[in-house]
Amino acid sequence: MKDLLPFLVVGLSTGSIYGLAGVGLVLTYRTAGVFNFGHGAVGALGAYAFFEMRTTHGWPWPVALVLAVLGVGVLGGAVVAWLTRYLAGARTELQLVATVGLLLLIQGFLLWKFGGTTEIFPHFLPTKTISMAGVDVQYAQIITFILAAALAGGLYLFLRTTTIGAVMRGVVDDRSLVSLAGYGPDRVQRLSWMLGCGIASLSGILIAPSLGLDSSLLTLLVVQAFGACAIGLFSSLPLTYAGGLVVGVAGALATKYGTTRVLQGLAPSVPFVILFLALLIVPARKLAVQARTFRFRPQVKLPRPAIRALAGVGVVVLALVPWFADVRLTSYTAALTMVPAFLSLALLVYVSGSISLCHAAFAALGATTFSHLTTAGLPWLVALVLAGLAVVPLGAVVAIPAIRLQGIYLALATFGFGILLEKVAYPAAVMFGTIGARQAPRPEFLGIDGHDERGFYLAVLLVALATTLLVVALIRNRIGRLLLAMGDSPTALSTHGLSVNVTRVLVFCVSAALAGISGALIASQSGRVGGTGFTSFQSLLWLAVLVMCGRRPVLSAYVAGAALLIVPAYAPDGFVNYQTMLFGAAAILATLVPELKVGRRAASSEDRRLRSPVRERMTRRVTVPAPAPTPALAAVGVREAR
Amino acid sequence: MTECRSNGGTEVLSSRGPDVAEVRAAVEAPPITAGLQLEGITVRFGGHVAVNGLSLAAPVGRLAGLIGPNGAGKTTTFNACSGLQSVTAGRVFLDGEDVSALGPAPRSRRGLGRTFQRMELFDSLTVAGNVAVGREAGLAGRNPFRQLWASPRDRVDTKQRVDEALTRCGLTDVADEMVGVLSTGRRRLVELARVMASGSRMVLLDEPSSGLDSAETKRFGAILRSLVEDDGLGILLVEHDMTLVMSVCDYLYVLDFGDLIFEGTPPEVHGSPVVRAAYLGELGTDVVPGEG
Repeated sequence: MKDLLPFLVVGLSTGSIYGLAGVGLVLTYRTAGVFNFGHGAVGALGAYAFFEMRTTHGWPWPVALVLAVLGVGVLGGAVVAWLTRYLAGARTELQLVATVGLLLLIQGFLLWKFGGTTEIFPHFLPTKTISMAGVDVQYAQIITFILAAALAGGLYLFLRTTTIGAVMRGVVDDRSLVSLAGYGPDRVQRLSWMLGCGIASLSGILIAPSLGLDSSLLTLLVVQAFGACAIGLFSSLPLTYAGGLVVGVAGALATKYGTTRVLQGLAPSVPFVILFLALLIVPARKLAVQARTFRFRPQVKLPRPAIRALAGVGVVVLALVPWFADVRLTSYTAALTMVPAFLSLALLVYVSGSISLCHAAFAALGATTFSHLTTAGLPWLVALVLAGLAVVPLGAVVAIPAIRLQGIYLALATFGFGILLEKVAYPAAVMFGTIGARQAPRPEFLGIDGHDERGFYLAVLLVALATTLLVVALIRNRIGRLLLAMGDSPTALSTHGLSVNVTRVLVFCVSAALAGISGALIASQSGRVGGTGFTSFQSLLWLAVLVMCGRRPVLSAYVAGAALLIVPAYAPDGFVNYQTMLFGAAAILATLVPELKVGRRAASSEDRRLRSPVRERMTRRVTVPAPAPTPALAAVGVREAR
Repeated sequence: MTECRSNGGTEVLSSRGPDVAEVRAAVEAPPITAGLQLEGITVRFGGHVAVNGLSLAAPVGRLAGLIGPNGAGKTTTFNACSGLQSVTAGRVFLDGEDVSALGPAPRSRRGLGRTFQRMELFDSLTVAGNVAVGREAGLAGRNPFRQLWASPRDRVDTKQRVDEALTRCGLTDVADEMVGVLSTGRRRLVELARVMASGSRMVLLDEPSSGLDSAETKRFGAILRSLVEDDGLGILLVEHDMTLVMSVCDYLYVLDFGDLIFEGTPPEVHGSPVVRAAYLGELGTDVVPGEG
């Protein structure tokens, strides 16, 4: 037991930071109704701000701490509040993509400004140790623990015992009622976001000394608060904080015991194991408060002849690419390798109303399977098809949470699953191994020589078109109608006899297979592929890029491939530095534009009206008790207004 | 109310409704071999008893009504019948088979269809698409291959059912419209057409006339009677529009706070002091045809 104590101390210290970050996340989720995927990135921003003030400019750390927390809290909170103001009543997928866009925007900014190297983040709290039960404990660890616990407890009391706390809890349920009670819901939610962003910033600053200054690492590590949130059922602040401690301690213990090659990736993925398991175990009704199904819908329906004509022109242009693309042909090929992945993602989110944030993991498995099969001597095309089929069981596994979860919870479960695979399965010998890369050949079939860049482009084009035809056929047949219907009302579908669970598994299997084919194509193009090209960050990026490229399953897939890989080839030098940032901004805009009109009307006009000088009069008027309804009126057909 | 009086509900019932004794005999002969039967079902939500030991029978070829004030447990009963809500106690029989342990999809495949108080339409699809899915969902069932692909025979069958349902509900002119652009009344009709196309022999309708104007309600009532009399369907209807209920139902069950407080033919229900006290209130006499 004694040799466990040091791990417990480390676990409680880091766990308290996870708990604090989770508390900030739950606070904004419960009071603003938007789950902020960019919470970790806000934490990273706070850590960088602190580092700049303290290390670069030499300001005293207390000043830097207060300014970083307040600055990021107030400014960041105001920006996020403005952003989410229009998304408060929006469909879940728009909220999700907007906050993923925020994550990309902040991370892109940090990469552009500070580069991708990991800097040492000097300790600012006292690192002297004190012996407790025979274990040396740093004062920094004690202070961190107490500070996080006090803040979490204080927030809980604030929400429970103060009027403004009650209003913050109420505003997510009914903005109009809050307005009628004389409070401005926008102001209340702005305060929530400021608190949430301030807490995220503090979490980032507290955890940075043990990790170093690395935007990706900080973003993901604060994101580990997801596990804590799952334990707190995304609603209870005390349970979320306790969940953070559990995550921290479990992670520390996994570090001690997970020393074998198989388990070495377990420690960093503990929060996601917890997240995934919690989402699988917890009764869906406990999570159902703000979970809504995803729904993307094309705005304009084009006539079929127009679609055919556009498709014909598109195919001709694509076939002519090798004769005008010149040195950029590899970028065009790369874009086409992504088409099956975008098609599969579009099938999932645009047609079935579901979502996957682990598509990169599907592609990774496809890539490694393809490598194994071609190494074993199978023909290129056969290996490609089998690589896709090999990912089908993984798609079926991911469909398990999709059977019982929807909306943001499904997104989190698939995200956690992707990170789990990335940490545990990628380093395994059967995937990328310790070397971290696998070989994959180019094709030689139907007279096409894949070693020639033009020949390879044509081979990839044929595969992309074949997968497109498959998706079009699926959408136009029975399964397409059933998927669209499932996105709208799975309940109605099941009461008409369809086993929607089978449908969900089916669409995830098809989607995973297509993503696997994409992974194989990516591997084949580069000849040598590693796990770094298939991170969970890629999954987020792919979703954001797809959404910013429209809402037509097929066209958007091609445009997304072009936006991701062809546009940068034509952009000026240095564009790559801004690319992530621009994609983040574009994703935010793509989600905001359809909501601005509706959002402004719903979120603002009523509030403004109610905050006007006549507000008091109106409030008085609505508080006059209405006459009691007469039951008999209902009996004769006069129904109550609902 | 005036319309209700002049409608002459008693006359309508006496001219086309079944004999009371006949209906009672059908209801009281357990278990019925064709239709829906509930045997002492109880549904609890924590400490709250939403439905308390309810027994009722809705055989095919009859239009039964389930009425009661708001919060009486009508929709909960429907959810328990269709498998969306598990029962705390009691059993649900469909065509004499105990389906209590089955989910909504298997119950539907055994011939039980329903509509919803808060409409559950597929807004991404056209009117015809909605109705087609009503049929295709049952044909595909749990078979992944049939979910993926419709056989030529299925396509013909679906088209026939869709055309018939659209025609009977008067929706052919809007077949290719997106369902989201329709008025509430027509959306209600789409929901009815969808359940008609599904081929269900026992149908639960949850406040189907909500949002319909008087002409639409009248047409709706005619369709319901036609489904029962011409097609031999069984219908269990939850409805607040008493004019419609009294004019189309053969038999009524009255719920109050989860308890079955009365059952009988529409005239019997209107004449019941228990029902008046619990549901109709002082103005209740106004809706009883022939009175006042």
